Amino acid sequence: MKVKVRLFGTLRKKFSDHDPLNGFEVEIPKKDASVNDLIDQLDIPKSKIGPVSVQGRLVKADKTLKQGDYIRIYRPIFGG
Amino acid sequence: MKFIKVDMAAASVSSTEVSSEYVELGGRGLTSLMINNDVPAKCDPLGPENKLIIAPGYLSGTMLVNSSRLSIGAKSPLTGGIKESNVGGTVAADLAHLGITAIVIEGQASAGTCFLLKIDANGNGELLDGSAYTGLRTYELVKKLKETHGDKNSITCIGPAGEFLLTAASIQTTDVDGRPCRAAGRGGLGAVMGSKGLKAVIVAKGGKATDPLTDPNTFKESAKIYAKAVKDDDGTPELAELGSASLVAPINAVGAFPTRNAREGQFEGVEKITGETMAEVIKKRGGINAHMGCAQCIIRCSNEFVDEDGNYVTSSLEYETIWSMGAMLGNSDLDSIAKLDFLCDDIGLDTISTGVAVAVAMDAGYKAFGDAQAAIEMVEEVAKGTEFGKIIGNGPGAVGEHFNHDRVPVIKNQSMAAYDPRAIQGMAVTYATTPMGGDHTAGWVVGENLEEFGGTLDRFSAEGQVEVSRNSQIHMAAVDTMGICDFAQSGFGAGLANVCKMVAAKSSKPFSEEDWTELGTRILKAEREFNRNADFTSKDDRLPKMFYEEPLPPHNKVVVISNEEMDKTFDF
Repeated sequence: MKVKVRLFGTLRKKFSDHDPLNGFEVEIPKKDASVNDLIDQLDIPKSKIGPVSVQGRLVKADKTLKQGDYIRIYRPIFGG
Repeated sequence: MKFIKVDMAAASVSSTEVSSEYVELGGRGLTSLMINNDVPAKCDPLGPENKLIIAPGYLSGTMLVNSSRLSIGAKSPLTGGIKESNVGGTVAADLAHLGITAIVIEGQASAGTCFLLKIDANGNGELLDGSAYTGLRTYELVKKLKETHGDKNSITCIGPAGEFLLTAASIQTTDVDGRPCRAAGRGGLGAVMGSKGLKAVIVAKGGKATDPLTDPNTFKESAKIYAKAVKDDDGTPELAELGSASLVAPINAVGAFPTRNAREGQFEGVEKITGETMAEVIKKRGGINAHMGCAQCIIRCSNEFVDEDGNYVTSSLEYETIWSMGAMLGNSDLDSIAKLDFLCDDIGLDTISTGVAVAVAMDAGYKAFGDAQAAIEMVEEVAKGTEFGKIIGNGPGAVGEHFNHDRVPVIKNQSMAAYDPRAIQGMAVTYATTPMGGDHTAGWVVGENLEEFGGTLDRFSAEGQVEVSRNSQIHMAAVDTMGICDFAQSGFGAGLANVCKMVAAKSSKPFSEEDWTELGTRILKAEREFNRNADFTSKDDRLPKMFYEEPLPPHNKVVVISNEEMDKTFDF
């Protein structure tokens, strides 16, 4: 399936085709893939990931994705 | 090590020894203990009995990175309680290099007079006639003072808002580039400076009288370890790339981004004002991201925002201002947010209190949410000194009173910051109980509250919130005493013991992790004591009723921390 992914903060740095404001499209070969599978596929360490939303709603990492989902992945936060 | 005492009534300046009780203190610890000892709690904050104390952190001026933080303390005309407002820039390092532990400004100049305090390269202070500078905005003021006194000074000053004695008035100070864009914003301390008859403090750079370290080798070793921990932290490149504005997208995502005077927790226009968008706009227009704002900074969270033609608009556009002038007003126009940030710096206003004052006016129906031009006009009115300008310049509480409108998100009459307490219950405890009034830096427990960020607390539950806020408030009181930048707390990743070693290596006395906690506790106790003597009771440690009664979309939660739990925060 194809999903739209936006990475926030420094997460996007290693993806040259990631548009800072629109993200990029990701093809996930695995059937019934979850947010966790997507993160594994993007090869981002779990420690660098904060909240994840699908269609603007916060989700847990085991949430199953479907074709056309818009996934936003944020960095953990710090400071004040 | 000395105090510069300024008697405004006599127009005299003297150097005095630092008495033994203050010798191992700096920053907030020094200002708060001294105010509690020497300022009558019930005094008029804008009268001669109040003192304005300007103190670099205990570790400012040393080789430690990110240690140029200045504490400014007084009785607050906004809250009526004790206040420490903290600011970066260069002045803390400059004062420490002159061997100055604090500047203590007492009394009041006679009506209609205006002074400048100049501290020369030998650390000697002198009051100069400042009447030629009356009424100037800060950028123009700094330009003129540099023409007369040269570039090699840091300048800490007030704008028209401080001169008008308005309680949202800030004290501005110059950054590395010499612009008055750094604000000790909270608590209306600009009005205290204005009430003294003091327009600016000019401090010579390059002093050679820094307090000696008793064990320089140990200090150097620990400072290096600290700097490495800051450099290696994941958050550091994030702050360089996006500044504190990196918080906009995630805090909005979790529904804790107060929107349209805290009627909602998510802003539909957020995409236009995220840190990511801001950084792209700055880059495209030829502005500066990863800008160095403060002395000895290795993080570079600052930026220079420019207009479409590449002309300077403001520095630094930050998370809190993007919120207060953006989402809080229903305004998704980044250019107007930047303009409002500049106006506040230039007029000498706290961006949080001012933005929220405008938000309350809009909520009361004075103008429509989203009308950025109306917001700009309201802020300009402050500088003009109109009656309505004075209401805006006195903060959200004054605006609520004017419109007889009770949706006013203030605690002890000071506006909360950009984390809605209904979506992050731990912030409810900090806002309600800190002696400072609504303040996020006094005990920032956002990370601990968000499971998605590795936190262990349920952010919608009261469970554990009091304890985590208490611990954070104790810790921050000590951090603010040392002069360590909030964002450089990643250096604590190398261990609190490493920081304690630096304190001991300066003072020559042992300083343990227990001493760190004892220090923070002692400061909070003194601040609470002052507030109690100023007639604050546990009823003042509460949030406005909107937070208990109005569910915040999208999670539709209210604050669930009971009064009994709030009152346990400081049961030490």
